[in-house]
Amino acid sequence: MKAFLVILLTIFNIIFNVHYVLAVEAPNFPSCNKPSGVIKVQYNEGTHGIAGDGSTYTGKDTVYELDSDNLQQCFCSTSGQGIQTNWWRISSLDENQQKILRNLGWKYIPNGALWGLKDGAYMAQNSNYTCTPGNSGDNGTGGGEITREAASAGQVLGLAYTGNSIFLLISFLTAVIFLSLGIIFHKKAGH
Amino acid sequence: MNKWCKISFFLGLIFLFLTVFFILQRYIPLTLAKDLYNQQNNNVSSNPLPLEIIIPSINLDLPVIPAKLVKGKWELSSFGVSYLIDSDSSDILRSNIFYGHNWPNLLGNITKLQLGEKIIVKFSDGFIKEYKISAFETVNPEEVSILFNSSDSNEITLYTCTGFLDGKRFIVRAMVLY
Repeated sequence: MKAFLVILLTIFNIIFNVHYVLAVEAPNFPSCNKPSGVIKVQYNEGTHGIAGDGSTYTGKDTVYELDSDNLQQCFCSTSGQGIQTNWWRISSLDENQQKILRNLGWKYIPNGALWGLKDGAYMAQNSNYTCTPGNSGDNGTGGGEITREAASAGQVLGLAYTGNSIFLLISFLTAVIFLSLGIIFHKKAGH
Repeated sequence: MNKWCKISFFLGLIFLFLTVFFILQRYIPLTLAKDLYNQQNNNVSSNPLPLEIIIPSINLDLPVIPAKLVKGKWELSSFGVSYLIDSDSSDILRSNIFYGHNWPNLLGNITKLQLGEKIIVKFSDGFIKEYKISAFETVNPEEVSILFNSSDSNEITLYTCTGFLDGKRFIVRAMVLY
C-alpha cells in the first residue's frame, strides 16, 4: 500500500510540478543603499524606464557593473522612492530555469542591447528601496536611458506554447504505470 | 480483485481515455467549428478581423479566433488559428500575428510549406487578401524578438510548435500580394 501511495504521489508531483524540478540559483546583488561595482553609467536627472514596467520615471539613474554578466540599476525618483533592478545575463539558463525565475518575480528581457547593455538575454528583478534624490550633474537621455519600448518588451515572456506532446506523453506513461500496477496487484491477490 | 487493484485499473483507464482524447483532439477535422464561428461573426464590420485562413498547398482551411497576450500569457484556441488582437506590448509587436497548435488538424503541416506558396486570409468585411510565403525560421520559444515591430505592415507571421516535445517554434512569414 505504501509503495502504491508513493508512486501515486510521485506521478502527481511530476504532472503538477514539472516546471519546478530543476534548481536554479540567482547571483547575489548588493542593495542600492550600499551599492558596489564599477559605475557603468550615471544620469542625475532624466526620464528612465524600468524593466518589465511600461511606465517611464523621472529621477536619478545609476548602473553599476558587478561583473561581466551582472549589473545593478539604482533608480531614485525625485520623490525619493527608489527602484532597484538586478540585471543578470542568462546565456547559460535553459527554459525551465527561466520559468522558475519568472515565478520568483524575475522578468525575461530578450535583448539587453535595447537597454544599453550587452547583446543577449537577461533576467531582471525589481525591488523598492528608499533613496535620497540627486539634483546635480548631466541630464541623461541616452546610454543608460531605457525606453518604453524596451520596458514593454519584458512583458512578452516567450512565444506561445502551441503543442501538447508533453501532456500526451505523461498521460500515456501514467496510464501504462497504473495499468501495470493493476496487473501486479491482481496477480498478488491471486496467490 | 482487491481494492488497490481496482483503483489502479480505474486510474489507468482514466489516463488511457485522456490519452485517446489528446490524440483525437489533434486529428478531428475542424470544419464544423469554422462554420459556427463564421455564422457568429459575419456581422462584425466596424473593425474587420481575419475570419478564415486558407493555405491551398496543404489543404488547410481554418477559422481564425481573436486572442490576447496578457502578462506574457498567450490565449490559444483548440478550434482554430489564434490571431493576436491585443496585448500589453501591442506597441512593440508586429501586427498580423497568427499562431496555433501543431496538431495535424491545425498548423501541424505548415512545416511542409515551400517558399512562394500562397496564404489566403478572409476578413469579416468580406475582403480577401493573398500572401506569398517569403521566409521560414525555427527559433527557441524565448526568442520573442522575432515578433517585434516590422516597418512593413503588409506582412503576416504564422507560427506553431515544432521539434522534440514542442521545444522550438516554426515561423512562417508572408508578404501581401494584393
